[in-house]
Amino acid sequence: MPDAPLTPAVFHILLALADGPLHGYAVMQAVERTAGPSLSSGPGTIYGTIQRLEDAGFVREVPGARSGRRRQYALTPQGRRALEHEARRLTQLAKLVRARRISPHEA
Amino acid sequence: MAPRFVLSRAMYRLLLSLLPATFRRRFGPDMEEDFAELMAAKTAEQPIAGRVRGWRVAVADLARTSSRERGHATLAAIRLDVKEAVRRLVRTPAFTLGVIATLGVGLAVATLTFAIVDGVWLRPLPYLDPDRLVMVSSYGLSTAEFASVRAERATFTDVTGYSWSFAPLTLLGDDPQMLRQTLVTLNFLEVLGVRPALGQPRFDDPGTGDREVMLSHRLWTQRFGSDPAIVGRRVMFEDGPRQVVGVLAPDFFFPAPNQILMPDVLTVLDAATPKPDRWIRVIGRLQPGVTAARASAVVDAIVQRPDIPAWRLRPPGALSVRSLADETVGDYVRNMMALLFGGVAVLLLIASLNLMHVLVARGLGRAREVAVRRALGARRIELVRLFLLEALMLAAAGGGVGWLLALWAFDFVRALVPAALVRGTFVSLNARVSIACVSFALAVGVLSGLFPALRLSRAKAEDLLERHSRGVSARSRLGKLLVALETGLAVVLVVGGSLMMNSFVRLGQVDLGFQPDRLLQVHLTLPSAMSEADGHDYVDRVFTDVGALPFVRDAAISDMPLVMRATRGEDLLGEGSSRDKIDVDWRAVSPDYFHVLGVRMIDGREFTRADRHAAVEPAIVSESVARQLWPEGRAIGRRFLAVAHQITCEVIGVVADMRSFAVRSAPPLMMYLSTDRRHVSNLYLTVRVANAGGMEAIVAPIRQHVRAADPRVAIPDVRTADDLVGDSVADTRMEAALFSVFGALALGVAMAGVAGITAYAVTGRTKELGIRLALGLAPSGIARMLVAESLVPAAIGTAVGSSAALALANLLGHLVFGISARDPATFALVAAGLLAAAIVASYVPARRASRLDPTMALRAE
Repeated sequence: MPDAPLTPAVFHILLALADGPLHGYAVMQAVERTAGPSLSSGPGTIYGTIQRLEDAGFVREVPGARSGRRRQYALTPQGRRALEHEARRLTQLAKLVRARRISPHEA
Repeated sequence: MAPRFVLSRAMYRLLLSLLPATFRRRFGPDMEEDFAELMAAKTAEQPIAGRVRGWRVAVADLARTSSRERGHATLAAIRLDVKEAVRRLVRTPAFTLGVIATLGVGLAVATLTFAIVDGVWLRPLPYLDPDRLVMVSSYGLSTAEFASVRAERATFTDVTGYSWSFAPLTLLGDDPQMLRQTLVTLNFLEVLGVRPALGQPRFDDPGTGDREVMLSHRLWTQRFGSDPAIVGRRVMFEDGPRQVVGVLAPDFFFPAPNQILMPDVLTVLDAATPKPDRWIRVIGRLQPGVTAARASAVVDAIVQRPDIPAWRLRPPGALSVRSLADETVGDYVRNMMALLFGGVAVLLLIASLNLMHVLVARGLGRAREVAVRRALGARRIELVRLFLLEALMLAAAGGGVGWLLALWAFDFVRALVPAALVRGTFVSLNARVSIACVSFALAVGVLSGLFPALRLSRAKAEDLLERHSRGVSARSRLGKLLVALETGLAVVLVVGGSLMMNSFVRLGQVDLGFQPDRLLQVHLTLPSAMSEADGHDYVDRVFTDVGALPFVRDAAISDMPLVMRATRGEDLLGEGSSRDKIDVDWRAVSPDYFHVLGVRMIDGREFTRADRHAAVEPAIVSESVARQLWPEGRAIGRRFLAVAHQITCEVIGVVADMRSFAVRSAPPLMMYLSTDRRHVSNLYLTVRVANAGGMEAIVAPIRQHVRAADPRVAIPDVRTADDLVGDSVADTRMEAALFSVFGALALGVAMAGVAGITAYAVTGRTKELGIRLALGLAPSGIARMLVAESLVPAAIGTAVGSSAALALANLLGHLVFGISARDPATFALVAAGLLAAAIVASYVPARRASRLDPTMALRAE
């Protein structure tokens, strides 16, 4: 899994958790902020992905620390590595694009 | 935070059962919290639309999650369930088609009604951020007050104003056209946040160059052939040229549809020369966080300041600030719409209860199968799903049929919407309405399917051993409850339908005071440049020409339409009258006017040509005026002072009272003066046609003659008197039609329910009835006993329903006409009718049961 590109949903969830633990709804709001309404989903979709990320070892539930009555989730070191890896990959891609002068927005 | 969305959360919790148990156990509670937060966020701005949107997100999410988390195994199981449900439904075609047809009709009515309610009321105004728009209600402000309100930047981000011009403006050209003009401030469209179809949203500052105008979309398409280069062109109006700066969007209807906008309020305002007699309706856009109540207080403080000249005709303390949406709909219409919505809800509830019983009855036959399945380890949730699916599929099919029926009947229902409802033009079968149709179907499916599903899935092996015995008593209890509920709900709708129908019939029977049949009204506007003498010549010529047309029997003119919208006040001081002064309305009419309209002349005579030169102003008064001014003795020859006209008049005739406002309002006190003696440029030519077939044929020749006599004359519209009268009862007609349909459907469905419930109760009691027959009870006795058993709950339901209808009578109070919303006769008749229907409905199955062969019955299981 580490070398494969992350799906947009996964990437945005990991990004949301990069600053610290959040509960599910806050993750959803953060994803909507960073990814726009195209990735906007709903509670169930977020928890499903979180569960799969947990299985992959990228995310863990923060025991005991609850916001209100809700469970909170945090990045594992492995998850942070995956996020950084993906960020590097995207930067690399951006560089490629810029070098070919494909992007209309770059000077 | 106080618990919110209690019902929604409960429904959501129920839907969570779609998810696999492990997933649900871990994330369910959090998801419910998230859902509540989502709903709170969505409904913060738009309570109803937000709720719909929130649910859409939640349901889509659940469907996605459930299929993803469950994987294919469950999906396959559901597919099997669907297949089985379809097979079962197909095996009983009569049942299935009957249910789908009934639901289809019910859902079609509900959908069409929702389309009306949505278009007229629920839909947010098509402006930018409409929740922040408010209007000063229900009077205007003086120009000075307006300037002060506009300076309140802490309360309003921006303020605009408009005023009606009572004088329509004529657009010159080959076919002069009279236009309704609204005078607005420069920023009118900007404040509303509306873009014009062409041109700029803002008028330029006045005082530089030509005066400006924004055209209505209809005028632009019909008169100027949708010329894309219209902006910047000069157009000639009767008062001079104006430069077109924009074309309004086709759906822009505020404050009136098909208006032209003139930047005239502002030439007064922006030149900062307040005039005390000018007044302006004020619209403001609230600053974030400011409430309408707060804005109300601000406006109140301004109008109470003694240094600001107030608009002098406004009663004190009459102002408040309301949301623009409320203001454009009005309390009367809102009340009407809320009632329609309530009616639909009750109708759907009856349909759901009915279907619920049918499903329980059907399902009990499968108790053995359920018990076996449970014994084999089927989880309860799977059984619930199985039963619920059947209900949902029936409801979905019903919804589909309903939507098709709604499409088919839409034009008919659309025609019911009164033309006077400003937003009536927005009634359409759009995406919102189709979502409503789906939601209604879903609600019916869940409401009717959930209870049977929960109940039947409980069936255990013991129930089978006890041979339905517990089932029977429980089922008859449920049946009685449903009979009572359905009858009660039906009473409410039937009472409502009867009252509205009664009102409509009474409106039709009202003596208008004139004969509207075969009467045609042609509205003419003479150019303002035409002198009084030329105007009279013109009218004489038109009379001669039109009078010579075939089909025309008589013609007359007046300066007001047959059915008036606005009042023109006048005070009369009667000579030798003990009364102080009386407040009347007035219109100018030509000779023969009352004869043409078919108004009874009570005393004296009509105006004649000779009155043109009479020394004292001759006047005709209505019966009530004559009675009030001179209760004793004859009015003819008496004189009175018309205060506003400042003339002394002599009564030459007394005519019967006429309902010249909306039919539902009492005949106004009227004074009539002669058109021959005053300058009248706004004319209503009234023509009595010899036979009904001539009505259509006559319009073109009349137009031709009117225009031939003077091409500058505009003809804004031609209407039949029947239409005009019809318009004024259109709201009652719509309510009556819809509520009658509600009532009839409710009655039909509820009585089908009673019949079904009785029939079903009987089948479980075959053995008992056999014993009774064997013991010597006559078959007629059996029938009587069974009918009586249904009648008791029906009677209780009728009583409860009647009380509910009585309690709700206030809501109907404004809408009924000529009858009390608590009319005892209606209530008694409806109650008796429903009981009679319940007897018939239960007698049919009871009679069949009484024909049992006792020996066969005793052998029944």
